[in-house]
Amino acid sequence: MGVSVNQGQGGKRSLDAELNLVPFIDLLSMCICFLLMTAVWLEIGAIQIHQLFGSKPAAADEKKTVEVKIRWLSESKLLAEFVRDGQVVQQFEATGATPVEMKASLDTHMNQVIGPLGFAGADGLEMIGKVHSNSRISYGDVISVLDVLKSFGVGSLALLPEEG
Amino acid sequence: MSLGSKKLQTGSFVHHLTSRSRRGSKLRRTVIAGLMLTSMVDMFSLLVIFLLQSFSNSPEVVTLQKGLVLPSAMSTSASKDAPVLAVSNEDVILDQINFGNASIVAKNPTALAKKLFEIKQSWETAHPNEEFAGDIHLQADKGLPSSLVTQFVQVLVNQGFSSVNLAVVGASR
Repeated sequence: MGVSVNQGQGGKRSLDAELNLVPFIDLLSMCICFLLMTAVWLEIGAIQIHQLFGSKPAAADEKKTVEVKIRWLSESKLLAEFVRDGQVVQQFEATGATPVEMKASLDTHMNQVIGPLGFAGADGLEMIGKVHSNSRISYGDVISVLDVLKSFGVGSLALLPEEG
Repeated sequence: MSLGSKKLQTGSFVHHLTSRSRRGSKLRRTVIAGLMLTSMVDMFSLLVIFLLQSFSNSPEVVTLQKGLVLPSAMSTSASKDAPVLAVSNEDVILDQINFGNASIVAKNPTALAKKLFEIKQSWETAHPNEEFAGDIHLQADKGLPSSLVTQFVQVLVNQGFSSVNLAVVGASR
């Protein structure tokens, strides 16, 4: 298992060299040990929210933004409203008995609404997501809604208190 | 490069083993297993490649509090170096200080607000020529009511931490 450099014909050294396996396996084992010890198995990321309390955007900017307001009507139904220049231009209700179904429903509706309206930056529009929390809705469900909004290019997100 | 029992030039060593085995028990079979080095080196190489691909040299800025289950999300951004407020069913922890039960702290957040103010002031003292960005991480248990988490977000915003990073576990699509 060592290096073998055969003597070729006429006293010349052969180019066929065997790999020194013992140090090679040692090196690989050490690499595996180091990488296993330093591996990060749980990747913690972040969803950034910018709370907009008290700060009113400039009038010129206001025209270029579309607000996506989301609030829960019940535990299995949420209402999404697209507000432009203070007027609701589009709205839909997403329903789902489980968080997965709700997320899928929201995803489908967002696809239908955002596609034809061309909100995703084509007209220079900026989308602002405002999600109203609800005492009956868990934080995990709110995060899944924020995740869907972010995946559709909603740049600025805000988590607001319960309405009413 | 196979070191199976057939190709391995074990010679006298095999003879020594077999004769020793026969001496001990005539009924027992002698098993000499050879190591398939090619396969082993292949496996080691694949392991190293896989681990190198998943290797991250960025420092871990957010450490997960014990007993806290984070929600998962696909559209996540990288964590920044910022203070961490952890809110679980039992505790509210900021900067290694436990402020007590979450619902009680949400009703009376004076101590938490004071600590947040101290953190902000110490940052401003350390960075006199920079504007305070207001970054903070919020680790909240996914089972908590969203209205309770919003109350903590309000407290953070009131103390000048307007850029709240909601900690999530990255999920693959």
